[in-house]
Amino acid sequence: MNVRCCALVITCSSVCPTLAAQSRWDRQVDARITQAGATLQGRAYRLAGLAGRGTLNTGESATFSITLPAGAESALTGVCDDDCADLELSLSTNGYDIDAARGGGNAPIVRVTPAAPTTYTITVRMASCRVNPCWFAVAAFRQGPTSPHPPSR
Amino acid sequence: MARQLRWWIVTSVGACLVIAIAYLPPRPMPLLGQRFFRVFQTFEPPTPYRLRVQELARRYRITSFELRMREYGEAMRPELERRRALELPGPTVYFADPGSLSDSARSLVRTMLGTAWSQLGLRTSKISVGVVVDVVFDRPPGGESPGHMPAANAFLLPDSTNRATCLAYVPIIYWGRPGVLTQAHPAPSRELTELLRNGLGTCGYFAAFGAPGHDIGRWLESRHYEFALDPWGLVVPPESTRAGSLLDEDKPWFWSFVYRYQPGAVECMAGHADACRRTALARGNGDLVPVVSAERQWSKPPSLAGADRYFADLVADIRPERFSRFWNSELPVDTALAMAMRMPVGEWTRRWQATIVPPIRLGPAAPFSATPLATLLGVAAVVLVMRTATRRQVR
Repeated sequence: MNVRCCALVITCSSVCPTLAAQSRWDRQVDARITQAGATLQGRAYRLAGLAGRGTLNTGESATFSITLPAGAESALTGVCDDDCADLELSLSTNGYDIDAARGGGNAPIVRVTPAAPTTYTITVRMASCRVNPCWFAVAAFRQGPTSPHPPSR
Repeated sequence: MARQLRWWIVTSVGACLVIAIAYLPPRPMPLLGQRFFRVFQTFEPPTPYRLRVQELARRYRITSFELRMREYGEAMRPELERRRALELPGPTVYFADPGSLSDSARSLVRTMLGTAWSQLGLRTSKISVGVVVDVVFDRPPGGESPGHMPAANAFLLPDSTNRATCLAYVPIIYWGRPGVLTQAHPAPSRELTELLRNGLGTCGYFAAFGAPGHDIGRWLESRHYEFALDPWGLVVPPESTRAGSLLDEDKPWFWSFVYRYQPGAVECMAGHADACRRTALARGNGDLVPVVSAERQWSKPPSLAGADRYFADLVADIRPERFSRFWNSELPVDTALAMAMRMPVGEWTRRWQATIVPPIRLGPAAPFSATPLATLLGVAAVVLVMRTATRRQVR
C-alpha cells in the first residue's frame, strides 16, 4: 500500500507542475496517466516522463521522438480525455515498426527493451474522438528504479 | 462583271468588315453592347487581367486578415487559457481599439456577448472562442484596399497550429453615424444584440459541437462554411431572410434576383428535390484556408437562397444532440446528413427552401386569363392572312 502511494506521489510530481493552468481535458489526461502509473507500478514500472502531449482531431496523428536507455524494458502508454474512444500508438526506429497497439481502445501500450540507447519515433493516431479535438498524452514507464533524468524528447 | 453585281460584292465585304471591327478582339464585346451605346449602366464582364488582379487581392486580404487575427489571438492567449483553466463559460472579448469606447460601452458588449453565449446553450467548451470587436467610426480613406479588415463578420477557425481556439472578428460599423456604443450611457438595442449574436457565427458551432468530422470538415471548408454562418436559436421571420436576400416576390426586382443564383439553386427554388440535393451537397471550389468571411460579393450570390441559416434551421429542426452526431460523424457527408435529417437531403432542403422563398414556377407561365385572348388574336391573324391570300389568287 505504501509503495503504491509512493508511486502515485512520484507520478503526480512529474505530471502536476502545470496543473494550475490546465483545462478540464488536460486534467482528465493527467488522471489517466496517474491511473496507468498505478496499474503498471504493480509490474515494477516507474514513470520516466512524458514523451509528448497535445490535441488531435479524429483521423489525425502526431509524432514524437524519445531516446530510451539500454537494458531496461520500457512501456509507452497513450492516454486521452473522456471523449476519446480509440487511440493508436506505434513505435518505430529507422523506419521499422518495433511495436504497435491499434484498435484496442483508448489506452494503448507498446513495449521495447533496447539493446543500446536508441532514439524511437512514436506515432499517435486519434482513431475516434466523439467531440473534436481530443486531448492526449504519451507517457514513458521503465522497469526498475526511477531514473533521475526523464528521457529526452 | 456587271456593274450591279460589283456593288453587291463591295457592300457585302464592307458589311463583313463592320461586323469584324465590332465583334473581334481586342474589343470582344458587340459594338451595341458597349458603354456609349447603353442607356443604363450595367456590369461589364471583367477581363482576364482584372480577374487575376482580383484573385491576387482576395488572397492578400485573406493572408492579411489571418495574420492580424493571429496577433489578436496571441494577445488574448493568457485570458483564453485562464478562462479554460477556471472553466469560465463565455467568449474572451478583445477590443481592437480599446480607447475608442467608454468603459460602460465595453462592459455592455461583454455582457451582451455573454448573454448570447448562454442563449446558445453553450457552457465551457473544448474549443475556446475569442471575439475581436472592432468599432469602425470612420470610412477608410481611399476606398477599399486589400489590407483592410473585412466589413462583415469573419472567423479564423481552429487549425493544426491551434486546434482549441476559434477567433471571431465582429466589426461594428458606424461610419460617422451615431450609434448605441457612442452614447455616454449605452443601452442594449435589438440590432446590437443580433449583431453580436451573429458575431459568434461559425465559432459558435465549433464551441458547441467541436471540430467537424474529417469529410464533413473538408466539405464545409470547400464551401467557406456558408451553411454555418448564422448561429442557431434565433427565430428569424422568413420575410426578413427574403428581404435580406432580395427575394421578396412582391418586389419588381424579384425575378432578376432569382436568376442571379446558379441554375441548381433556381431549380431548388422551384421545388425540385434532386436539384436541392445536388446543390446542398456539392463541394465548393474554395481554398482550404481556416478563414471564413460572411462578407458577400454583390455579383456572387450564395449557393442556395438563405444558405447562411441552413445549419441554424437544421439545428432548430433536429435538436442540437442529433446535429452534434452529424457534425462529428466520420461518415460521408450525404449519409451523415440524411441520417441526421431522417429523410433524403433533397427533400429536407426542398422543404426548407420553400420556407425561405415561396416555390417559383419555371418555364413558360402565361396567365390563364391571357391565354384565350392570345389564342383569339392568333386565330384572327390566320383568318386574315387566309382571306387576303384567297383574294389575290389568280384563277
